[in-house]
Amino acid sequence: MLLKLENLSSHYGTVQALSDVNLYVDEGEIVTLIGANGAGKTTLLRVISGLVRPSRGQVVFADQRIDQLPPDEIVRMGIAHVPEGRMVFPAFTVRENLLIGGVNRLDQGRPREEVEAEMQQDLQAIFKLFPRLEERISQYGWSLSGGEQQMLAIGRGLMARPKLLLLDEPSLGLAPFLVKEVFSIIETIREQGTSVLLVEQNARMALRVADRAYVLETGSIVLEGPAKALLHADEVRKAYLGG
Amino acid sequence: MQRTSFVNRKIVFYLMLIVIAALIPQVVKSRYYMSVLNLAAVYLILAAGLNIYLGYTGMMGFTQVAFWGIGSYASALGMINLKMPFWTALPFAALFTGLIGFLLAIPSMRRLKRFYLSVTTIGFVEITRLILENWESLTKGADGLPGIPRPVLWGIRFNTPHKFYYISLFFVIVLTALSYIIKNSRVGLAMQAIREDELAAEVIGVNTFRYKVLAFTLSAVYGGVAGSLYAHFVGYISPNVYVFQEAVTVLCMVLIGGSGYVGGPIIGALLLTIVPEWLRFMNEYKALVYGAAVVVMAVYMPRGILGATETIRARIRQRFFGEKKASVYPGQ
Repeated sequence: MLLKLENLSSHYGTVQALSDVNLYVDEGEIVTLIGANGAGKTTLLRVISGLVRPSRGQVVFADQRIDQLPPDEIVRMGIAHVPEGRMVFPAFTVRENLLIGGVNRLDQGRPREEVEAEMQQDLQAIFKLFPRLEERISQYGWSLSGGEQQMLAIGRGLMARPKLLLLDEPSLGLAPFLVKEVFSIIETIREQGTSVLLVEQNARMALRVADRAYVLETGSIVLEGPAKALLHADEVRKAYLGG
Repeated sequence: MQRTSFVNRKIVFYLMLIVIAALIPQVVKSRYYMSVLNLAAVYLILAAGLNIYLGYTGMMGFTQVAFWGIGSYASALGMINLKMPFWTALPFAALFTGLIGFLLAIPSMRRLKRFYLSVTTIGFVEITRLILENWESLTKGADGLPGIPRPVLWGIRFNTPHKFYYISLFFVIVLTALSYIIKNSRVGLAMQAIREDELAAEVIGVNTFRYKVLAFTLSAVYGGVAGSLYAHFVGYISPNVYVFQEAVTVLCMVLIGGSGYVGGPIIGALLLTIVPEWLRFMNEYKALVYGAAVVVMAVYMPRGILGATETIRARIRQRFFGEKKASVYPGQ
């Protein structure tokens, strides 16, 4: 088991955002977490990546407890977070945005040339996945379209060489054909050996690419199972797929 | 190929600037104007330090003036009390100030953000001034320290503004080059990521605490060097030099020149030390003019003079050379 959340609760002040969440991601899996606005999906990802501390329970990644570690150490262990709204650095070029994604490799005390060579190699791999980014390599982040920014955000996450990729609403605000493209890229990423935890409001698409799924409602998991089964489950159809 | 020739052209341009700067004492005979240039160098280094902290990392602060004071006293006392030569006193002042900056940064960066941090830095400026004023056994209090020795190197005493200028210029070049190297390194990229979006930087694994402490410490080191140069150039220091008003002046230099640009502090510091000399007749209104300039800049040129020229150049390229891509970031 790659990632495991056990009895996880989290509060913002006195407001409970997550209560008693149990969830796991196996190696090579795409797991999706669906739910309405404000259900706690983003909070859950933020707890995993160390931006929010849980008030109870634990997060175990690769057999190590990580819920008290700072975000940069969690990235170094192999979890990359692609945040909601992309958060591409507007005044950085595409190249700089990608390079900063590999920042975690700086502090490991390895020889500089080795790190540089590795980064170049990873840049090429990312350009293979997103040819559009190579075309726009010296353009600034702010000047990219929404779809390109999303690709850049994912590419930036991959530059950390993650074992697990956390994707927060990658389809948000994208045209339908781009949504399809993003989801097919998520499948490619999994084929290349990275597990994915995908948070989505576009439940139909998410359930199609995922292996397993969890449904989050006001901070608690109300349903879980194989994605294909959930796609046809009555509760999910009514609440999230429009009947 | 095009890129290399571009880089070479840039290097030639910088070398020309350095040569011109080195020839100034041969042309300018006035001791008074050479003194102004030496002071400009001190301000330039202060502003360059603030630029790392404010321009690269995006934090607001006023500590530069306190570091300036600490550097001045550390260097002067090092020479007077500990009998250090200038070439030991200056690095001593830089390291000592850097250490103070580091010790202040550890708790501040851990706990404070945005204007809470700025207020802390204002408090630090006041505390530093009060200590310099009241620790009379060490600093001689409000009377100040007179008779600070001049630097000597290879038998040459740098006792005139014309001679001292070369020492100032040397440190300006070294510290500007350091700013340039930092900005274009991965460390600089991480600092600028914090400025652009601190949460995003944290998400992708930037140790924001570490880089903020580093930026702050570096700005303190710059302040220490500037303080040392000031003390040995003027020969007399007193606590009432290092007042909050000066912190605002340094801040204006960075903002007017262009924060985040390596050249920003250069342009800002030269402009704000030389132009007031021409405007001496309206000296009382200096603060008013600075204030107005900053307001106008904030509205019309949020990225300073260098930011504005970059935008204008890009517009010209787009209009006259048909370049399509938007190559300039419209604002911070």
